[in-house]
Amino acid sequence: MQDKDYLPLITASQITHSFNQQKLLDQIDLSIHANEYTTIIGLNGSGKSTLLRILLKLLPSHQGTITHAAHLRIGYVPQRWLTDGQLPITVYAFLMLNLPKGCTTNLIDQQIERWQLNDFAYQSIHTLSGGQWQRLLLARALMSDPQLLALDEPTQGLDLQSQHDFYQQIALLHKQGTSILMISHDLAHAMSYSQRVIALAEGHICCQGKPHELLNNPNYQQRFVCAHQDNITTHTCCGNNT
Amino acid sequence: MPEFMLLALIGGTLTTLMTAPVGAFMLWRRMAYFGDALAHTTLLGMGLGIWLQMPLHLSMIMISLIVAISITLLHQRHNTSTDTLLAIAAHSSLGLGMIVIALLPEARIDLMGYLFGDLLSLTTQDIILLALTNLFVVTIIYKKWRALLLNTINPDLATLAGHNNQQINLLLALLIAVVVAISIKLVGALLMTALLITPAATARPFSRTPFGMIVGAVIIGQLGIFAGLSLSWYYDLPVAPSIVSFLFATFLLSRALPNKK
Repeated sequence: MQDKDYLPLITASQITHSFNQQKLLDQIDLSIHANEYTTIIGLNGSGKSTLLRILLKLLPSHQGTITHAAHLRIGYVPQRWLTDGQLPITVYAFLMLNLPKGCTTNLIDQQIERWQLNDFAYQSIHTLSGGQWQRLLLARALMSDPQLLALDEPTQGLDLQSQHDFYQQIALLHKQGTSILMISHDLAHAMSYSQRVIALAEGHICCQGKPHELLNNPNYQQRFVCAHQDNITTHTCCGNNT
Repeated sequence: MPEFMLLALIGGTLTTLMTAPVGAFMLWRRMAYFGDALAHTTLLGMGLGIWLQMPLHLSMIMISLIVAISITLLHQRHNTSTDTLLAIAAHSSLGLGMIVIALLPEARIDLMGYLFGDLLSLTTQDIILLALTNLFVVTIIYKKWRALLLNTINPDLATLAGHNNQQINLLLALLIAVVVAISIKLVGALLMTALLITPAATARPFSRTPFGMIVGAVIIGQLGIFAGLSLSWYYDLPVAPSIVSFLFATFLLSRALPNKK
């Protein structure tokens, strides 16, 4: 399917961003389309999460522009952040705090039911396991009935079964009409579930397209497949990956 | 009860109503040293107030505000660690404050009162000022409760909910600065942080919600004021150190008791 078949929800133009005087993202142009399941992949430190935060306007880029579709509703599942337990807050109170204006607590009850949070609804959020935490963040993100669900490495720290269950739930949401934008370093997931994969390397989009297109792309093979093999073998597969 | 004791009790009660919520936010955001640094800066405010013949409360609030806002902005824009900025601000303003006071030989300053507080010397005017400040602080926290809490939990979630994180951070810095500058008369610059942080830390193990923790901190703070005044009345002990010592004892007790949450 071509880009023109999709309505752009987010358009990024010439995004450049530096960290500690080093260019993390360099003149990135991309669009995130409605009804599409897009995954941004990249090695550690490639700037995936920074790019996502810039796309969502959570972080201003040093150069370039971000345009959102009018009245775009975004649900965001951030990476699990460290909570030190000083702030006492239950799952229910956390959802209550995120309740969109004009909505009633029925919405919270529905989300609690839908994501099976009942057993620990009145438990502190600091005591949740990785899987429970992800379900809570998903429930929170979906309370605004988002057109676009953005997820930042959502399966980090989950066991294989929980990862599989989580991806199935996201696939179901996509089937029901929610556009998905996911940051991941899980290449198997990206290739199995996504409609479009954007590969980020050294501050640039090194390649993008449908999963099967990427698999045949020499740029992708060199930077990701061989880099991955290098990591798990003895760094002899492709020599220099730069 | 003598009038000065009654005023002290009312003043103490009013103070804990605002130090408890502000102290809880400081605890949740790991800003304990922020209050301590601002308390130090009030000496410069006091010196400048005497020099410029301004009301001391006003000059102390102004200096605390300038320092609080500068630290917040410098941290946001230049990514300098907050503890470095706080250490520099606290001790520089303490040094500058001492120099300003030394240059005003005619000024008579009760340094012990400044350092350790003078709850028993509160006047009706002080009570009115405390009541108005209380109203201001509690109203702002009530109105911005959701934004303050979301920003404390995760700033990105606050942004997506439509809140401006920079404004929230500045607002909290403003609240801390005002509370510190106004409350300093009660417990002094050196013991200020104890009144802000200890009741909230003591209430934490028994709290299930943020609001519950603030209510707990208010009760513990009130007990501290009452106990400090009683110890001072019956055993002729200094009030502020008695309050702080009592609060410390409740903190130790809270950690010894089984967790109730």
